[in-house]
Amino acid sequence: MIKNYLYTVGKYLPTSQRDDILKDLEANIYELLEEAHGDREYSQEEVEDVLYKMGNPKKVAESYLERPRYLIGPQYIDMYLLVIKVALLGISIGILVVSIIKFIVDGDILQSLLSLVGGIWNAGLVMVGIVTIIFSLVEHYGEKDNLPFDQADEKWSLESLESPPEDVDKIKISDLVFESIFILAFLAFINHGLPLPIIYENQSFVLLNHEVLSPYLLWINLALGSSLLLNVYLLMRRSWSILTRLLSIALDMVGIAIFSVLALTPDLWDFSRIPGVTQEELTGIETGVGLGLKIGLAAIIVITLIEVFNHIRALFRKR
Amino acid sequence: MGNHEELFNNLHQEMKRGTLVLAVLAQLDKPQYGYSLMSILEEKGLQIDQNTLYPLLRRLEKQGMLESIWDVEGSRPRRYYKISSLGISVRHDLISEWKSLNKVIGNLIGGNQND
Repeated sequence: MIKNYLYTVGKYLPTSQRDDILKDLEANIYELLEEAHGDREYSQEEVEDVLYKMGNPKKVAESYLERPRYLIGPQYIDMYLLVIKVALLGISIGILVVSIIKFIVDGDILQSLLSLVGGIWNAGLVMVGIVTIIFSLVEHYGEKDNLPFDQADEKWSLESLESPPEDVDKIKISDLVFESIFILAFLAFINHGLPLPIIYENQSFVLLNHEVLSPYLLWINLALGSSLLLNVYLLMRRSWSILTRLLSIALDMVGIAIFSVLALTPDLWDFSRIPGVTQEELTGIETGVGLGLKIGLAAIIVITLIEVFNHIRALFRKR
Repeated sequence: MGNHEELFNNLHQEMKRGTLVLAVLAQLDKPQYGYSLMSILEEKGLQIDQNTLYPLLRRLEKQGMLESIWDVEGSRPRRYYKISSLGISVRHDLISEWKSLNKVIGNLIGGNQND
């Protein structure tokens, strides 16, 4: 019985201190038994009585711990929960869009629903896992709050106070959240089948050349994944630094490069799959789509360059 | 509005917690094991739970204010604690501080002690 009690207490203790604390605790239990019943063999009832007096094993273990144990502490827990919500929302939107498109194409509602629930479940689990790992690593290795609010023996000085970010470096959390939801939805979309069908005369056709696109998928995932990580970091820091601005500029450039390659790759779309299309019509469609993509590319380049310009201006102001 | 009993219990616990270190240091000129120390404190009017006392002894030892030895001569091993030289000097300062605090609080509540 005593062994079981000690084993249960030990489950809530860190390995590094477990043996030492349990040795103490065992001695304490026998002290109580000896004081109550003298130095002899003890009956089951006597042992049980003392163990109940010792109390709930979890509480006993906690009383020996000098600080609470957690994977993600109070400094990051709110941000962690926000990131999880954003991640799940973004993934759900992306997969919902794919499922709706699949339903339009196949007309099979059960299959679409299964795809929706299964997709959100799988992608959600992976995302929660990744976010949890990142936050627990930050908690373990990252910079801690400088001020020791609960440890009176640690010194602090006025120099350790953090200055609030200048207006130019402040981050709008809503912008980051919106951008992250968009990136996650897009990631979920491109990694969950990417059907992109065209409906023409009550028939649907997938016009995207997956063979052409697939080599770029890894790079798209890497670039967008890096942007997400940067967003998570910025959400935690709540202000721009020189390094994060430079990283953001680099990621913007990579984004422009990838989108340019995709927009300017002629074989990405295969319009000849449309039945009954003449060569003349095909040339017209290709020219139209090509022009549309170039206009889209130009718009994205302009928007991105404005963002890059703002970063560079802020960097110069800081200097 | 808060429940009087609950509020009082919480504040009483908090007040008591601050005095435990001094109470323990004051009783460990002679080596004592956990239960014997708990009995001495109880005899002198200080009730202390074993799950508070035993971890506190370990913490004070870790901070260098107590020394401990395992007595393995009896039928069961027993850990004895005794105040260290660092503990004695800290206790000295704590006692001065306690007396001064006692005086200040006495001055503050002096006229209304029966309220």
